[in-house]
Amino acid sequence: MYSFNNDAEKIYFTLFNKSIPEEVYHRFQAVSKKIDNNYPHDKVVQYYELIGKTDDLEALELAARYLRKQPLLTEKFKLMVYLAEIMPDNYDVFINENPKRFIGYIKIIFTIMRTVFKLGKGLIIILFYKL
Amino acid sequence: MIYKVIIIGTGPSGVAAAFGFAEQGIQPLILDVGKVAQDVTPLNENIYDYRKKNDAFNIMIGKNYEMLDHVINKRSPSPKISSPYMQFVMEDAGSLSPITETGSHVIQSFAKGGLASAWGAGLYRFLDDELINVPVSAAELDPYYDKLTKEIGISGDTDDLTPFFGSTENLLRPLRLSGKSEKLYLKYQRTRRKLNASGIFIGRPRLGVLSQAYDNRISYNYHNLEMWFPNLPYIYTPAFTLEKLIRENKVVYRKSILAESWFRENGHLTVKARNLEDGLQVTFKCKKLVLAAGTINSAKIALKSKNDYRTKLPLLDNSLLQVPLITPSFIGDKLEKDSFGLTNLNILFDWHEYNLRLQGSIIELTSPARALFYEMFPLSARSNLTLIKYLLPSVSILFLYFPGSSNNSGYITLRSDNTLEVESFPCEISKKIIQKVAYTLLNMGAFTHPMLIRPPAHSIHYAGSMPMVENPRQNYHCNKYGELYGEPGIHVVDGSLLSYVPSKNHSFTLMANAMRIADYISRTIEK
Ligand SMILES: Cc1cc2nc3c(=O)[nH]c(=O)nc-3n(C[C@H](O)[C@H](O)[C@H](O)COP(=O)(O)OP(=O)(O)OC[C@H]3O[C@@H](n4cnc5c(N)ncnc54)[C@H](O)[C@@H]3O)c2cc1C
Repeated sequence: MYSFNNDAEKIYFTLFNKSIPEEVYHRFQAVSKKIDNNYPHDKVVQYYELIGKTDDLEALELAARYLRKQPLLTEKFKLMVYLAEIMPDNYDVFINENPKRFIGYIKIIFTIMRTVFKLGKGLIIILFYKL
Repeated sequence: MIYKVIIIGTGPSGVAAAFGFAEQGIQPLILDVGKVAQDVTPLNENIYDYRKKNDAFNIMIGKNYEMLDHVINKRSPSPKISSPYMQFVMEDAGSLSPITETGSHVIQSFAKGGLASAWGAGLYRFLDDELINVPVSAAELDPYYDKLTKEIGISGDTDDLTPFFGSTENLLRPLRLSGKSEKLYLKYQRTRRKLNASGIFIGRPRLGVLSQAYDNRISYNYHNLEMWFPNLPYIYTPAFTLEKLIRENKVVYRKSILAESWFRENGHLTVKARNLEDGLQVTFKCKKLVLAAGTINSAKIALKSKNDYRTKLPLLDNSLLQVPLITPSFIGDKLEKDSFGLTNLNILFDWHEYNLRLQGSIIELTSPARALFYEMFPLSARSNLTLIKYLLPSVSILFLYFPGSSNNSGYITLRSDNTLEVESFPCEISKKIIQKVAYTLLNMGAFTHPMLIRPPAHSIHYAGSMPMVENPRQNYHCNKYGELYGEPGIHVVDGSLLSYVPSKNHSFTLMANAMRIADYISRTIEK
């Protein structure tokens, strides 16, 4: 089974494509356990198993969110975004400081297409693991 | 010692009553739980500039992960009250006054300054046709609105909303508009004749936010701290006036006192309370008792005093629709870090055909954490981050308030174990109205769609538990001076008195009315 500690690393990498800073890691761990406690044990075990097995967490999370399955996964992503946003290293991920109107439109169009692709992939993952 | 007047509570209504008494030379005793913010110095730079260089954990998450309470415990009060340094606003509310709630989440404050310690400081006068079912006219409130305007320092303008917002005397100039709001306002001004003919008006808000130095307070500095730091000198809270009254020895202030009930003995009133420092019962005697503990807690004190565990008192609120507005020309633009992060414009839909007047606040989204919007966007995780960076700078939000009346009220009951039972649901809002609002905004260049609008919520404008009526004939009704039926000397001055809340923030009216009642009590006491 996947290490209980490593959901932090994997979620952070999925979101930001880099490894998790130590502070964020510890903060995530501090809250993560409390969120786990809101869920029945079997759901928590399933969550950690999925983290271990799935390569494309982003696709899985999206499809699970749409199908209202594994809300724990969605909550962990949400938690990570809150904790990551406050780090100066991630400032540029969240805040646009230079007007990029044309690029902005292109990025949004691309990102919608990406979501459609990820949704399809996520649904397949869910079918595969019989979630 | 028998005080002439005791006031319970230091929210807007309690402080305005104290201000009124002080003007008449009466020194009231104020009883308050009085939670205060931890001692924290606000940043002296823009929050975003700070974030570029510093880990903002203490400010935006909190040492005890306060900001994440909604993720951990699935509670969702307003983001402003959840922010770490604002926690005092709701501190210990659940244990000081336990509530079982059905429907909406109820918010109570035991802070010095009450809920207004976290408010948006939108301060609006009611017109005669908004003072429905109350035996008070706008003209009777006007002198008090005027005095409070001078005390608070309110920014605003003379514009198309003046007929709905009343006198502009002594207003400070309005704050600077954000780019998106300016664009919307220009578009409105170009087509205003047509829009006005169909009952749509836009103008500048009336805000207790200083656009210039005033009364020893500095002006707003566009640092976007309003979400994160309490007691910013440029955003008025009643605690400012209270501090002044205490300093000038015009009131006696006792904090850490939880008032529980009153009783009568030897011709005076006695307040039974708990001293929260030592847990002991204490009593305070007075001739007149002024209830300003907020709509919910004033009702609780009244029910408790009458040992009444049966009556259901009404609880009114404005239902709130949150309408996201996308201004397409701002997609991909830079985030306006130095715009005012609360209400930039007000929009009014005066639709006679529906017998409806709706007021909305157009709010910039620069203050909250961007992560808040991550939760709202529907795309995949990384795609949502892209939307935050490139779409969010083009989004503002319209808070649209719907009137609250006895037709859509909830209720409050006291149980014998001293918990309050509160039931309240936001009212259903007709699809037709939502579509009409969306269509109007679309025509002004702000894209929205009924599908983007979340189900109605409540706005924390509580009212109506002990309404003021012309001729009170039943328990828990008050006369024109807030005096409870069958309870001489007990005067209610807070939101409890309003049996109708128009589509407008009501605190300024609570304040003016509290001052009016304080004036009346002062005159009768002197006799
Ligand atoms: C996020 C937010 C934004 C808002 N924005 C606006 C706005 O822009 N404009 C507007 O008009 N309104 C706004 N409001 C609503 C406004 O804050 C409330 O309507 C207003 O504070 C109510 O005033 P009050 O004096 O009746 O009671 P409260 O503000 O609730 O104050 C109650 C006071 O009574 C004390 N108290 C309670 N019970 C006891 C007891 N048993 N013993 C002793 N003391 C007691 C408390 O310590 C507190 O001081 C906002 C509210 C929130 C939460």
